[in-house]
Amino acid sequence: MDKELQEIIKKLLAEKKVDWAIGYEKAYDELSTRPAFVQDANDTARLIFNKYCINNLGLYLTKFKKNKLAVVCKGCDIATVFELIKEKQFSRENVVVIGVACEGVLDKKTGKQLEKCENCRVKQPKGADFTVGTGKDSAAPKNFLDVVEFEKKSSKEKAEFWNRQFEKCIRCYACRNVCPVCYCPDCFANRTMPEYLNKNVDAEENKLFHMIRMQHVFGRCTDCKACDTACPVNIPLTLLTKKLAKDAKELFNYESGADMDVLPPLSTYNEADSESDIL
Amino acid sequence: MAENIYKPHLAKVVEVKVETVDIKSYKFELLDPGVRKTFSWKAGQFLILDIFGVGETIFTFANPQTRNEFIECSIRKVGQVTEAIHELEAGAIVGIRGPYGNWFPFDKWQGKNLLYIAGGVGLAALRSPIEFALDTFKDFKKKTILYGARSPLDICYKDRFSDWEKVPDTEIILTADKGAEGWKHKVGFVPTVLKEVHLSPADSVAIICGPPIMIKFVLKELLDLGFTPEQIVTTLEMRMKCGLGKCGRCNVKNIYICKDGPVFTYAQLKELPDEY
Amino acid sequence: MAYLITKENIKNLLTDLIKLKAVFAPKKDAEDTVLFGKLSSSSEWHGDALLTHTTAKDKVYLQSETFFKIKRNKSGVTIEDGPEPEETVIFGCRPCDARGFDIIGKLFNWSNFVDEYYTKRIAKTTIICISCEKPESTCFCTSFTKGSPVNETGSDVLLTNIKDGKYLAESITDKGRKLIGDNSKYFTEASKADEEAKVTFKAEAEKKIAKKLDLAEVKRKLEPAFESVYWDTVHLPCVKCGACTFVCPTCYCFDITEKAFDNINSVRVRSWDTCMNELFTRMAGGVNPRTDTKKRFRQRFMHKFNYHVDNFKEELCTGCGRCIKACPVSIDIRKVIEEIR
Repeated sequence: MDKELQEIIKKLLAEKKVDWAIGYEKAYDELSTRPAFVQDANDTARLIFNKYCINNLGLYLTKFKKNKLAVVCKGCDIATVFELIKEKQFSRENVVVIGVACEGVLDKKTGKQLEKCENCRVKQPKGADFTVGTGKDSAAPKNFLDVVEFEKKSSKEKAEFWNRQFEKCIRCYACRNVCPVCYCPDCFANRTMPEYLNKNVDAEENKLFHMIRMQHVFGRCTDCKACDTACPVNIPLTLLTKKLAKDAKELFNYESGADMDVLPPLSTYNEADSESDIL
Repeated sequence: MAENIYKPHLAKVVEVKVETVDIKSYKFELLDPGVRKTFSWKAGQFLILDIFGVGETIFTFANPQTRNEFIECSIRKVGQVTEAIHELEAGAIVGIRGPYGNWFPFDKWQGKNLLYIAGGVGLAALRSPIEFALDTFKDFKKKTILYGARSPLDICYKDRFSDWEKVPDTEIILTADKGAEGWKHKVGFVPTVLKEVHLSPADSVAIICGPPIMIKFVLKELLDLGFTPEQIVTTLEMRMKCGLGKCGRCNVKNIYICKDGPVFTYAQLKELPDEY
Repeated sequence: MAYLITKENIKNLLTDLIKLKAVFAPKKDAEDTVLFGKLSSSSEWHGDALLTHTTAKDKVYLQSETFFKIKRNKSGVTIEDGPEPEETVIFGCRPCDARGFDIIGKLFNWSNFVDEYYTKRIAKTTIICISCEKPESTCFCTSFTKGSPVNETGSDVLLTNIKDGKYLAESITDKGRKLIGDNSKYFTEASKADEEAKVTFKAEAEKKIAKKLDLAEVKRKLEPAFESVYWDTVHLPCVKCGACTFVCPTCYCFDITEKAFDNINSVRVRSWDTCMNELFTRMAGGVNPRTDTKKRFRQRFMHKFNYHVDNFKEELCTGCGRCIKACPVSIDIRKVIEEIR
């Protein structure tokens, strides 16, 4: 599989169809991989794909807008690429999507398979320009059982849970910076005039940061888990991103990145839209 | 235990003066008479001004040690703190800590010609070394001040020039990038004017402060005129927070501008990587 | 002077200490995050993990430290100092963490300016460190002159598990001697053989650390490498977050800001800052000498292994490897400095 992947990229680079190819390479031990940037057709031998390839490389598309890119994407990462194209962050012609069949990836910190992989309907990537390998999609659709379970908690329990999480937060912004749809060049968290967020790191300010970020990515977040797996102190951000996905589905029947022709719910207005958030 | 290095002395705004559209000059008086007596600085050093409720920012002392009745700063409105400063009126209480950094080495310049070249608000940083040399004029030969601003309206310290010119062997050359009606001085960029006035590098020191682009071209002119890198002195501006060489942001190589600068010769700067 | 203490007596010691002081030790939470937390009972100590997710740095050099409270009213401005730090014990950190305190302590005392917040807090902190038996794949402490799984720099007491459940306890400083003296009932005198067992322990532990860098060579390569094309590509995966710097035992850069509660009350706060953040060096008005990722990425490595060595004769790194594990894109500090061209 790696060989096939390397050959496709080698050809794209040799024929100058792309300036850069972004894939994965082995990192510091057998259980870790990192994004690899390849510019030279003779430098593709280090590219690999395995169950430790956790990063969503769609992240880099908004950072290399001026280049033609080939990007290795798991089925789920393709949703990010489509979402970003929809948001007009770059054009479809500038990216060659190389889909890789995936049997699920493991969190490098816990060694456990990511929750999103359990009921994955895109193990066989869809919409890619090239596809490497074959995967068998899960029969069961994504479920929101864990979110439903969490929603049953009392307000007090929820507050206690999240306060404990945000006390851990060190505001390193890894979650924001690995998020493919968090591409604002001037993030509200960095602004000083006016200042939305104080530099003082405490649970209250931290909570404010995460809540505003979650609102900003609603209907755009593809629940890719990049933020969750990036967190150096294991804050379960997945619960929040999955809640966003659930709300988008229930309120607007919208799934980020799934359908190129449907616009994000907060970018459009429809008289039939849910107004459940209006008091 | 020694005093807390992060704690400011309280000071009162004594006077606010509008210099240009976006520059105001302030006089501050330290509240504690004991502190007032011991607080001293040298031309080139800077202080940290504390606007309570908003935050701290760094400014150079606008007045030299020879005129130390008050602490003076000229401040351009550019950000969160400076905007708050521009709201201040006489009587307001601020905090001051410092002085920090190194200073212009006047002891090494005894008997020399001094050429000051300033652009825009850069004159604020040169006011203290200019006035220091004027107050101790016997120690130096000719004092030339070449000052340029975008327009006549942007000229800072207009009302100080007549006093400066009264000092023996002192010349002021003013220029504006664009002239205006009634402007009797030169029109053109500072580097161009510098070329026209043709100053001799013999026994001279050039002290420059202004926007990076001006400094770049002035440097070239000075070198063409025959100034050596050792004869050219400037001040570096970087984002600073602590002023104490600890917060880690104002470094160029292993040099901390707040601690080892801000005054550098061009000879020293040439040894540093281009990251300022 | 060396002593012996059993694991059971370590717990008894912790129980006693908790009554008198704030004791911070590795604690594991529901998400399997192991962080230094305040113990309310000795059973909360989680001694199984080699490294905590973040360091113990924040127990002495707080992530956000209130310098003082400010009150503005008609009669003027008053500045009120914060409370004095309390007596604290950091228990169960590793030699790489302890050495971090030694390194940043020098910075906070640098150039005639003594940072009283750090100095006062470290003076009231007793550090009980535990030697490492088995390294992680990211460990590289032995690359440093003082680095070792049994290094004592920065510790007040060093515990080494020399035989099942028995720890050799060495008092390194006066604070350490006092702690052992005050709790002498839990310690017995160590024999010559016990001290020799530590020598064996050291040799075996050091042998297990596979990666050893030649840091003098790294410094030699870094000095002329500022303009190197190496930086043009090596930084590309970096996402510019601050995870690496915030989990580091030696990164010390900070910002000073104000938090205003209303028109009268505010606090002056020092918070950790990171060279990875664009705002770190951006001046009011927008000029920034380190605009792009490349420059900020380079600054981190130059600072740690070149500039800091010029100023302090030691690297700003202890080889704990936390930055490698915390990096969302697994950038390996060892690889970055080793491959400099």
